[in-house]
Amino acid sequence: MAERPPVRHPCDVNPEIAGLQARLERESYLTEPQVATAIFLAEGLPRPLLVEGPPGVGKTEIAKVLARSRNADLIRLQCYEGLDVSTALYEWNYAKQLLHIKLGEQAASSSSVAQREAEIFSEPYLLKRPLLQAITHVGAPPVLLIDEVDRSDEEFEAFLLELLSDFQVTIPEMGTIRAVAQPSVVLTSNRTRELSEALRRRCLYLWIDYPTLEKELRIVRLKVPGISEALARQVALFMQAVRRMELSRTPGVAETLDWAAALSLLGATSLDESVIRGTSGCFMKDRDDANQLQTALDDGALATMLSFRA
Amino acid sequence: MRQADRNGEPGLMGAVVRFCRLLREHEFLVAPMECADALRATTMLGVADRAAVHLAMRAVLTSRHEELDIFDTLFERFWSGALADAPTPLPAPELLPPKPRDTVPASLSMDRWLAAPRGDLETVEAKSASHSAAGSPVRMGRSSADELRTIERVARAVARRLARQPSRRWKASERGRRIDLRASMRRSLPLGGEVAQMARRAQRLRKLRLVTVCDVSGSMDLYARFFLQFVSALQRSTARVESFAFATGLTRITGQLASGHPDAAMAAAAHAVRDWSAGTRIGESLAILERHWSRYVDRNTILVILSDGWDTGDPALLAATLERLAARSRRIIWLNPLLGSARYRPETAGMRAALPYIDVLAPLNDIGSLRALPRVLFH
Repeated sequence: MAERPPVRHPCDVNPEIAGLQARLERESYLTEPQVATAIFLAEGLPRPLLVEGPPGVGKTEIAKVLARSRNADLIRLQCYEGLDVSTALYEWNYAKQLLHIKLGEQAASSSSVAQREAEIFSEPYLLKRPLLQAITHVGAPPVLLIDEVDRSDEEFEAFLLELLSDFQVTIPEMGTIRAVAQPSVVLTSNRTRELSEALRRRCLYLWIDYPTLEKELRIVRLKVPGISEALARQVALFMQAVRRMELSRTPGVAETLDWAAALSLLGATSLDESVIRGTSGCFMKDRDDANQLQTALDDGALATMLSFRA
Repeated sequence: MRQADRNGEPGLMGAVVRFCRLLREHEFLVAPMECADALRATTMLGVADRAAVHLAMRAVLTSRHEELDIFDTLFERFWSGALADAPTPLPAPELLPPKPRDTVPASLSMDRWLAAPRGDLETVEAKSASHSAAGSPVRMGRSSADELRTIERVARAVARRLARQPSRRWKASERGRRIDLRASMRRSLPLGGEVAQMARRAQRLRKLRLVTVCDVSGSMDLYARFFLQFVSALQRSTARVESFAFATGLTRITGQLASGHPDAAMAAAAHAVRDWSAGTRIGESLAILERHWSRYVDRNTILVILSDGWDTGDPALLAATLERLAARSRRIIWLNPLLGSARYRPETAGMRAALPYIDVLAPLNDIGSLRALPRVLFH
């Protein structure tokens, strides 16, 4: 469950990538060279970035942090099954158009039919959904986050692929709209479904795994500043041990941080069975898992869990 | 084309192209565009920093989690020599799926079986899982013409239902059940807002895929043939079926079973499967399915396993693999021929390990249970 060992070569890290890493760390996002390299290439080539990994490890965070570090806007499209073009790209504001027509009838204006048609099929009557927002964004190029793309279906993927190649959209009444500045695109997937080959080839690939002990400890210290060093260490050790158990819903980094914040709020100074039992809802989200943990604690496993070194 | 030379790196482009070709031989998704991007990434980062180049190429050229380890190995092997002229290394045997051990080709017995006149019943003592299960002889020979027609009919019924599951997507349809308000208002615009005719929507149909995994080990021999006749008929009715056979290892037989004539299909399949009638390792075989063929198992897949659950492999591995497959697929259906006997209880270690992850456990030992299959598959 730990991360892959870092690639070992006796060279310095590329200065641009090191700079990117430092920028991300300033936004409280700890990362490794491979993540920074992938982000660097996604902007440099440019290519969309596909991020996969178990839930709760910070896939969506990447996009948010990237947007913050570049002072760019984040435009988010949450995918689900049955997501179609009108919800993702654009839709006409029919109600407003109808209203305009009705008011026009009563006012008896002198404009021709063609003029009125051009009026109602213009930008004020266009409801821009996330994908079109990303394309028509003015100012600095935004970060477009397409979240959980595996929950959409094949048809939507095909449409997405076309959009990611050209970054242009044809609206029949208005013509072709091209992106002024290409947005940076980040896609995330939980691997519930195999994505199409074409999409995977188009994107750069990044796998984010559960963190190592040291990294998790650093994350806890960074994001929960009020927590004591000893407690942070115990929390990190415990979570590493929990992930080694065969659970149906393995907790991720998000759960670790929730738990650490809860412990800090409750003023706990160290982990013992009663504290864990009281706060286990922060990281155990399944009844069978909770029972399994309870059994383990009853068997006296706490001491082993807290002393294990990865 | 002169870009590499201009940068003072003679042969870098050639080396990258050769590396991409090596990756393609290992079934990576690398097209010329990815190769060009890999080269650009390398020049952007500078060739001197090997760690950065490794990470950069990995981001560009891999597209799946399973490929990461293989990529690392290939990268080390390819670029550990001089960058310019490293010879293309041969693919390592351990990177390919393990071949099942050689046994006496049971295709001989298949040929004999195919040559026997139809309707001849072969009485066989079915090997039973434990002493307590019934060891009644199985009367199963080559199916008569009537039975073949039934098999074809059932296959067509299953194929029809595979293609027509309702999904959550809606599309415009004049005869649909639901009223589509957006389209109705759109239609009313040229009429000044008067709604003359309501637009309707109908549910789109989701197409499911069937993945059949058939145990062809010694104890399952005759049942396997019966089932594979059905799978072959199914493949003639629809393209959305993938079929595999396993005993000690897993073999994909979709191509073989798809050939036109039923007998030819069965013969081709038997020749392709090297461990026909060998011992059984269910967990290991399903692990191969998960590792190498997981692209066929997704949210729209119904996984059908035909096996008596009697195996010599590791039950814990079977349970863990089935758990992961159950998470990925829509349903898992286990067909156990021994269930046809009233006294059978799933007591073998294999069946017990698998039970929590199976959605439906049903018998399949004769024509009657085959006729019930569409109901079992689709509820």
